[in-house]
Amino acid sequence: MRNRLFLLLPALIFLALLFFFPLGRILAYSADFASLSADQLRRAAAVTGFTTYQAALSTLLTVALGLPLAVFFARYRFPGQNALRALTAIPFILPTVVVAAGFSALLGPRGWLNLLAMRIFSLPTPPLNFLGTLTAILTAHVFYNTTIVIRLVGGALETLDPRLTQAARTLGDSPLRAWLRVTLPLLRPALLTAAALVFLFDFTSYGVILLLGGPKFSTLEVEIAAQATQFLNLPLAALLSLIQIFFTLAFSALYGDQARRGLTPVKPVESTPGRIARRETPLVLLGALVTLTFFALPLLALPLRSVTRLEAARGERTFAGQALTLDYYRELFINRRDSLFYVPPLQAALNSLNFAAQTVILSLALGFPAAKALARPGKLTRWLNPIFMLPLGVSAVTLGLGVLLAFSRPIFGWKLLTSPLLIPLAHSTLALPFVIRNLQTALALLPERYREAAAVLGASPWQVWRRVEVPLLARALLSAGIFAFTISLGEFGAASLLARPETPTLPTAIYRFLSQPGGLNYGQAMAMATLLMLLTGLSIALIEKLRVSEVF
Amino acid sequence: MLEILRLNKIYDGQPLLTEISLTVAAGETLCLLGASGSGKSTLLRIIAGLESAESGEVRWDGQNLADTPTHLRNFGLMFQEYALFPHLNVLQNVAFGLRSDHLRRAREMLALVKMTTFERRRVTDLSGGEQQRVALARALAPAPRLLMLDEPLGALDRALREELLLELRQILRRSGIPAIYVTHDQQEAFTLGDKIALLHDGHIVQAGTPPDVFAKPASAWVARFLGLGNLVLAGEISGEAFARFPASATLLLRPRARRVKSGGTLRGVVADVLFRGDFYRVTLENGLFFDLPEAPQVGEIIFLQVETQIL
Repeated sequence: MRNRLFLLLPALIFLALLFFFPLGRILAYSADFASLSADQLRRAAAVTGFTTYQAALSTLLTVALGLPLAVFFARYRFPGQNALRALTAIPFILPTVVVAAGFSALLGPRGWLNLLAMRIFSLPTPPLNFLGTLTAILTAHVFYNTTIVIRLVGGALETLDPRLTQAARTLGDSPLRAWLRVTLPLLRPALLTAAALVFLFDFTSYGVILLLGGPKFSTLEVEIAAQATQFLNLPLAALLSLIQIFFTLAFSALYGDQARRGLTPVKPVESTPGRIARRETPLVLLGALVTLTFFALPLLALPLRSVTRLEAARGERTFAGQALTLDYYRELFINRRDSLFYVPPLQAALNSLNFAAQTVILSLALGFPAAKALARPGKLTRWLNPIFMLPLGVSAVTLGLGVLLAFSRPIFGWKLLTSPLLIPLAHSTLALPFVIRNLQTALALLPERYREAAAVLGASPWQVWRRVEVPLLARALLSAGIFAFTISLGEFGAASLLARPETPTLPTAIYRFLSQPGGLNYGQAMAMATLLMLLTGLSIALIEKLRVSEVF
Repeated sequence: MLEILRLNKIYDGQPLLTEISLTVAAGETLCLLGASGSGKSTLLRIIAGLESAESGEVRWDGQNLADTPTHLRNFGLMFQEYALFPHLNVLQNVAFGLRSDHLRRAREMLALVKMTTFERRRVTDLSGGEQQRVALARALAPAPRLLMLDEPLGALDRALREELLLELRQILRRSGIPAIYVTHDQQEAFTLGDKIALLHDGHIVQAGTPPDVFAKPASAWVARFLGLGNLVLAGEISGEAFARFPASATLLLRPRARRVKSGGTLRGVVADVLFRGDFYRVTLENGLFFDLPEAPQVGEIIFLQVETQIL
């Protein structure tokens, strides 16, 4: 018991300092809401209203696309199906700035569609007005989260006993009626779970709103950041954060509740792989085509746009015509402005890699001992598990604000806000729940008898750890580490509040370049977003590979 | 030598082991025999230091081991499912508990269990019998002062078990390491044990050499568990030979019987005859069974001379 507490102590101190203390500061500041003007309170209400509205609408659309796709993937077997399903999952793992850049590359004023249309039809201005609209926000959200519905509802569909619908059919129901009366009610828990989760993600969406919605739209996340950094109205920012926390916790609870209920097992019977009847072939083709178009185009548009010149560069009178180019990548190495606070984009990439590496070390160093202490079920575990998962329920922007408020003054002479450790520490808070959960699962799966066998053979506890646990958990450690790396690499919300101008991260630099005029800036944003996409994709592919071959 | 003194272990509020006392002398193999759930494995784990008892002592050469952690006890334990380290190959597994000069010793052990050619193999690719051999080599390699084996043959098929049992007997005899062998199979216990101890409901109900236990079972439970023969209440069986026992006494009638023309201890009608190879198992209408060299007719009345013991 004492040993376990000792293992937990570093992580608990860390959370107390970088999570609970900042949260407390938010609470303290928001208690000051009496000082806010009526206008500001109205603003808070309006922002909360819009946040809920866009999240609800996004969720509705996500389910509207996800449910048919879930049925489509569960019902039909066709070549390339697994690849197609995997494609729908890719957006979910990408950083928001990458997705935003992808849509911008496809549909933005400098995107493929607009530039091609302008050239073909000799139009003076981009015909398609996508960026800065609610449509853009909704589209990106659907793009992001459809995979949740496909995965959860599809999973439920596959374990559904087919005899139930067959029974309904023998009792006189048409296929549609049987689906509505039997299948759909049985899918309800999965559907609600998925919807709650999607809503949660849409509600706390930050990068998408900021980059695709533009200045017209403000959700809680965007407003918190704006109030905290531009208007310096900390009480209002804190109040908004409190509202945000309340909503996320409520929906997390709803999600957890539904998820548990969804676990009621429906007797699994050998699944019936649907052969495709001839009259259904067009339907399957259509489904595959829609999926491919919607999910692949933004992902392809981005890297292609980063190596293609589609418009005249600044200073060029006439446009020589589109051509492949590596200019945007070359520019990443150059500091064009020669200003003190301006750094070449490459530096942002190096910063991000550096921060991500530190996040990996920090979160593993804190998370592994904690996971070890929590691996065995018990009273301690029951109490502490939710505490370690709490950071998941708080948005990155809120966390960033909390850290800003908590460390605005030096603590024990330690100026965290100017410390190069700031971003790694904040990112470790976000990564820690994932690291602990991953390692906890792996540790729980590691049979006790290996440790015991080693002890019987004369290995001291330290040797057991070094010679048995670490080698056996190498994969889990590696994959948890890569997970932390990926989280840090693409994280935008906290970084946009905390990253100092002279040390931008890759996502904040992409945001900066996207919001600046000029084809060259745009091209560089595309190049950086492509790099980020590749790095993230590579990391996740590595995790998947490690997961597949994990056996004891 | 190992001494267990009045050991008590409570598990989930229920007594699992009660007042267990045992000794294992130098070079001796003790077989711990009991049904599953009788606490045999727990006893081994307490001896190994993997679990602690509520009260009682585990002593080695008179020294109490309460404060000696598992890794300093130098007791070998062969786990039921072997627990071979999946990240190490066969040779590395065997060498795990060795400090210096380890490869030579590990190879010797592999030779002892006839696994020399498997050195570089992954343990996950081995068959059950092969894993068992590697686990034995690994447990023997550090030359433990006591070797404990927890149902080591449990997971193997019958033919392999018999083959390995004899090998195990040889290896234990030759190494001279005192051993505790846990099993629920009386055949294994009789083959390997210099002594056997029967564990029932957390108590040691009988301990002794196999012939002693076989000849004088201490209770009806022991006789039934060892499958020694028919168990009946004296009052429920007719025959002059049984009249001298009190009616509530439990009698053990060994299956080994002799058919006589008339008289004998027992008279009965043959209900069924089973061919068992060397003998016929004859079941009477009253449910008693006996082994006879010649088959009687079903329905025939036979007279038997039977060995009877009061328990």
